[in-house]
Amino acid sequence: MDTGWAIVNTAAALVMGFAAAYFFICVGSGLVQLRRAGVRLGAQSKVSYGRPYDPKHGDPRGSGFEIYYLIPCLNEEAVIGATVSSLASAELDFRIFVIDDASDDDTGAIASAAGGAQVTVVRRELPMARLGKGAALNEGYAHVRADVAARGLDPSKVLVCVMDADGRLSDGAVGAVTALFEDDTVGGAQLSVRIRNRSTNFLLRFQDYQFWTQSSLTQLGRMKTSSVSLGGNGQFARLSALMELGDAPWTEALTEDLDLAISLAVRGWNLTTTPLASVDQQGIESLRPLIRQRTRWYQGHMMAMKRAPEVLGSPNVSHGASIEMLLYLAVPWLFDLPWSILYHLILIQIAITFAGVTATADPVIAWGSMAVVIYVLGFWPALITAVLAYRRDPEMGRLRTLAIGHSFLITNYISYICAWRALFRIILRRNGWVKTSRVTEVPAAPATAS
Amino acid sequence: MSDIPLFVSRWTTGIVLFIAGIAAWSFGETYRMHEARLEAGVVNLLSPVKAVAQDGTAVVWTGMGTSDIMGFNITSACSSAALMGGFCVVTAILLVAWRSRTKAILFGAAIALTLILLTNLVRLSVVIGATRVWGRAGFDWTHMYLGTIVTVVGLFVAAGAYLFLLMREPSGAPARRKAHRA
Repeated sequence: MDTGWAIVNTAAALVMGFAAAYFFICVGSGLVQLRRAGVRLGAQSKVSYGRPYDPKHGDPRGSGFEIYYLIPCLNEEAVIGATVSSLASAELDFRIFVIDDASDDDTGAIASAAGGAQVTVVRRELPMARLGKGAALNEGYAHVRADVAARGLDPSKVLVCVMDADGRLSDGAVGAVTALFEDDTVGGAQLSVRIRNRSTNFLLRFQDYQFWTQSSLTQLGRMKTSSVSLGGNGQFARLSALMELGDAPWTEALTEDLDLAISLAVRGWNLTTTPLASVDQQGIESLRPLIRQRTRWYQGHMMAMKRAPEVLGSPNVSHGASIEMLLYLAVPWLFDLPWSILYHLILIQIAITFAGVTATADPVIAWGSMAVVIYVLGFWPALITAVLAYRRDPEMGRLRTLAIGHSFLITNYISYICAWRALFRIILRRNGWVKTSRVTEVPAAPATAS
Repeated sequence: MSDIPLFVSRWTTGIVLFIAGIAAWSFGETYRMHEARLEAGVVNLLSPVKAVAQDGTAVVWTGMGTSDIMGFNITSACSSAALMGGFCVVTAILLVAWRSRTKAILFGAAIALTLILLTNLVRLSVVIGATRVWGRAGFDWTHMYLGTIVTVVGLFVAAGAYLFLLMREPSGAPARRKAHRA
């Protein structure tokens, strides 16, 4: 019995030790990056969205960069109009390709009406449609390449931006992003994500906390190793980097964005982000669709582990980036899945220890002391991230931030459920997915360059 | 070995470390006997109390030469053997999987293993010291509460140092990324 508990304790200590060390190294590095850039932690907390060409963060043309937006859509009439009108600009000739993946609604017509001549709707028809986001992006990418060739543009001066149909770039985002690509080793950049409807309910506030504090700070930390992970919204890539990946840079993987990040990194392209711009999107308002979305993410993330040998074997990836990417890829396998079991075994052990302690000492003092120790050991990461979350977004208030920070006791179960569902889907080779639905939005006023 | 002139191969080193890790779990009693000797040395070094490790056991006797002799048995749950074994196995896997980082992996493992060992010696010393001063209450508080916190902090620092050393770029190494892509 003792040997069994010793194994549980050792495994739990290793899992938690490495997970906490990895997380706080990334976050610590992120804070250092912010300090070096002279940017406050809460710099973007009050930014507004929908005017990406506002020149306050730099010239939106950024040393002559051209931008092509790719917006894959399937039944997005509720949100696509507002998104396209926020990206269209009378002053800048940036192109918007809306890839209508055989929508049943008026997505294409609404997108055309919202963006005018700057919008090209690429209509895909069944049975060659609805084959995944990667396939849709690759079709849009083919149109981008054709257009770039026709205009005689230099692919190294062309940026391809993938947006979700409900995505909005922060004011001045384009100037901040193009400045990153002036470093010609940068192949991709990912913006931090905010949840637009975060004040609606706890679940949305929790998603915003995950994106805006946990994910965003670790992403800023990855700037140090140039291994920032790409996401599906606010993802920028240099066209010449994408062209190194052939005609289909986005794979059929469920997390085609993570796959793209790995492909670019192993070819020696730097991946970065900026604290001066972000993208916002709708969160998911109820639990069941959230679990469905996260299970898909987990499945894609877990399947991407098979690319770890490429990362470790690439002579183009720095040592820091190799270990960082390896750890990131391993998180579901080495943290979420084992911890979902170990955590409960540790709880049982604590209960047994409680009984032993109270048998030999004053129960009130013993239980009180034990509770304090358990709280300190269990919640110190929550206390630190709560402080960071408050500084990242002071509008949340101290108490609410503290509550959100402690909510991981419950919200961790979302991760556990999704990780195990994803594992079973991998074992059963089930890869089909229902797309996340949106809430209807009113189109915003067209964006301007000044 | 790709970046250090060792006469044994990366695979051999990895296999040896893997076996050492399994041995730390399987032969924990032997490990604990040596840990007890080290702990006795630490007590002798840091305090006027005389301590000895009993041959063939993992018991540290303190207060030798006085009428107040106390014995402390280092059990498997109190030993650093299991964690040391875990780090050895992790290191072995990394060595085999990642040929270009041999030196950093071994250096990081050496630092991490040292930190784990030292942390546990500190923890045991705190328990022994508190028990000698405050008796049973001192033992309960430091063994159950303070000792656990010391262990967790030590492990976090060890894992952090390990990862930090692995992620560092070698000094003077040429840039591995392409300098001009555009």
